[in-house]
Amino acid sequence: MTDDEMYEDYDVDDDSAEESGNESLDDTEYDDAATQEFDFDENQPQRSLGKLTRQKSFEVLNKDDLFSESHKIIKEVKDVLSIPSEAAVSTLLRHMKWNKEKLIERYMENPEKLCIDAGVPNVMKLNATIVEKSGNVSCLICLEDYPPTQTFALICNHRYCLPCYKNYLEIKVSEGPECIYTPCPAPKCKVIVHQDAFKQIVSPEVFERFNNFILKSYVDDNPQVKWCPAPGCIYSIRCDRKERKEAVNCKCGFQYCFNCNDYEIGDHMPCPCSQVDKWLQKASDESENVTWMLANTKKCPECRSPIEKNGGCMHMTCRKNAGGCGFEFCWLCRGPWTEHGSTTGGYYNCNKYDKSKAKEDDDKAHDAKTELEAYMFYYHRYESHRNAMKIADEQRRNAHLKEQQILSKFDVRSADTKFLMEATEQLLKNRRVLQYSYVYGYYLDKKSQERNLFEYLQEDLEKHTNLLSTQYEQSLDKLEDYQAFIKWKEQVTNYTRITKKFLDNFVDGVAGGLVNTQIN
Amino acid sequence: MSTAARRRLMRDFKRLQSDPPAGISGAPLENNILMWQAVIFGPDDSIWEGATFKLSLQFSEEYPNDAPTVKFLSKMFHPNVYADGSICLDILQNQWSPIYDIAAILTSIQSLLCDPNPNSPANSESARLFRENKREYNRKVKEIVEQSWSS
Repeated sequence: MTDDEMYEDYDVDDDSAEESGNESLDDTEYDDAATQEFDFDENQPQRSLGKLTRQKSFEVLNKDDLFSESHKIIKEVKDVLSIPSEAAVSTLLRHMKWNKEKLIERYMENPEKLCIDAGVPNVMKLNATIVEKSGNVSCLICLEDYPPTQTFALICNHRYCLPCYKNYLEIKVSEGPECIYTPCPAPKCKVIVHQDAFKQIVSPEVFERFNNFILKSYVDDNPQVKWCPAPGCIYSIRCDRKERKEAVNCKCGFQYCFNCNDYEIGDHMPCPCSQVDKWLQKASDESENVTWMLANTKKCPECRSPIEKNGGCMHMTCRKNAGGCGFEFCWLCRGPWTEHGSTTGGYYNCNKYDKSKAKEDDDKAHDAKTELEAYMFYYHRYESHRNAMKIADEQRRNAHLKEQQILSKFDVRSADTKFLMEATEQLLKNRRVLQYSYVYGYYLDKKSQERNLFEYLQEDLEKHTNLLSTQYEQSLDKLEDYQAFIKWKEQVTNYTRITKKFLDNFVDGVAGGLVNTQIN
Repeated sequence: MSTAARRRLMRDFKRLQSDPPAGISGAPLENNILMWQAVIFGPDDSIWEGATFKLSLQFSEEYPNDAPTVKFLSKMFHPNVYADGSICLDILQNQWSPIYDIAAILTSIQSLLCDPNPNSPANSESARLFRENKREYNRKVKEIVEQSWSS
């Protein structure tokens, strides 16, 4: 993407004809490419992962990129509105949340009002000039006298000495991101201290921090640019498509869904965002407890307290000391125990088919139990792959240790250990997809045709991923000699290739809609 | 030891002595210029008339870039004063400016007495009476004014 295009694409929210035209053009190109390659229904919520490497609709930005981008916008506004000072434009843009079009529009409508609201009452003149006075100026902060040259005042003419001003600004910067909206120190004064004043007054280190906060506001206020959520990562990513389905790859190595932008979630291929949302909600939801109670308890026929039967005979007493009512009943028919006895035709003479309320409750409990069991099954597998992924991630980060061991034990070149990194990276990818495949599977129609294909592909992937994992974890002590090492290396390399194939099959299969998948 | 904060407090003190605003007085403790005690008189022709409220002001070395912590030492009944005597006043929090000095703080608190902001109550009972039952509010204030003479 050229610089010009990049700039044009900034701000999809804007509803000007020119911008929306750009956006729809971009869409068309994208969909065409997709249809050519995979020929699946456009309305499918899935997009192909295979296309990921080719489709570059995102870019990773470092600090310099952000700086030059924000600077470009400042320059452009400066030219359009003929404002001589970049510092003034910078303050105006921050006030308008970096929305260039809105700023220009509002400025055209009523420049005075906008400028006063933004704290730049005079864009032509930012500082007050020192009026030639005989004698010193008294600084109202420290109450000491200073020669006028050692004082500073914004256009509001609230003049203070440079040491006090420096102290004031540096404290504001140390307090955090809000420092980019620091007003003049005078009570109730709304004039904002501009960038040039910071540069002139504070130390270079503090000015650097101030500039970083400006870049931070540029990212935070921009819906198309988000910080990479990986801990300690300094990059941000611009993504032009609002509903991007594929993961983005940060330069730090983290791969994640741009929409969810969550380190814990990461890349959730093959599930759509909404499904992951639903799943996580379900996992943390109190309603799961209700499902459990429904499946495993019956209600006392008298007081409706839920009761779990954990042993003993069918003669139940709703225990008062557990908050019950003391009612005695039969667990099977839920009739009063007084009707169960030698005088009423036997203790368990209730084995007759009964369409009563009790039966209805049983059906409900049965359904809930089946549903709960299904959920537990998928959740358990989801969790297992999630944990395995964490282990794989650790193995990936520790691959160089294994490499060192091999290099010291066998007489091989470092190029011969490259397969270790490749294997761990493949493992990580597979585990991640497997993890979310169980979310996808849970929501897939239980009786559909697609389910067969899905489970078939999933099984292949799972089986071979586990094999690769076992191969990789093989203890180096067991490798007797160079020959054994070469054999092991070949095995691991081979399995890396095989699982990559199965991963591609799986992802393409799901992206292809498993022919005619129904997703709810 | 002379720091920027201490120098500024000395100047505040001198100004307060040479040009004291009506109805307020204050001075640092003998051995610690960062710790002040002050007295505010209730404004004349108001329900607070005749009151003599004691306050403490604790300054930090960041003064005047940081606001001091101001508390009523006398018992108070006011919508914007907490039970422990601390005060909910914008200029002591987010609207603080290093231009404010001790005289400005004390006069602001003095005018807060007659001009409470019942929408951000620190004492909900007082705020409720101020809004709904002025008679009872005035009676309670009178009690507090009388108590201020003895403490």
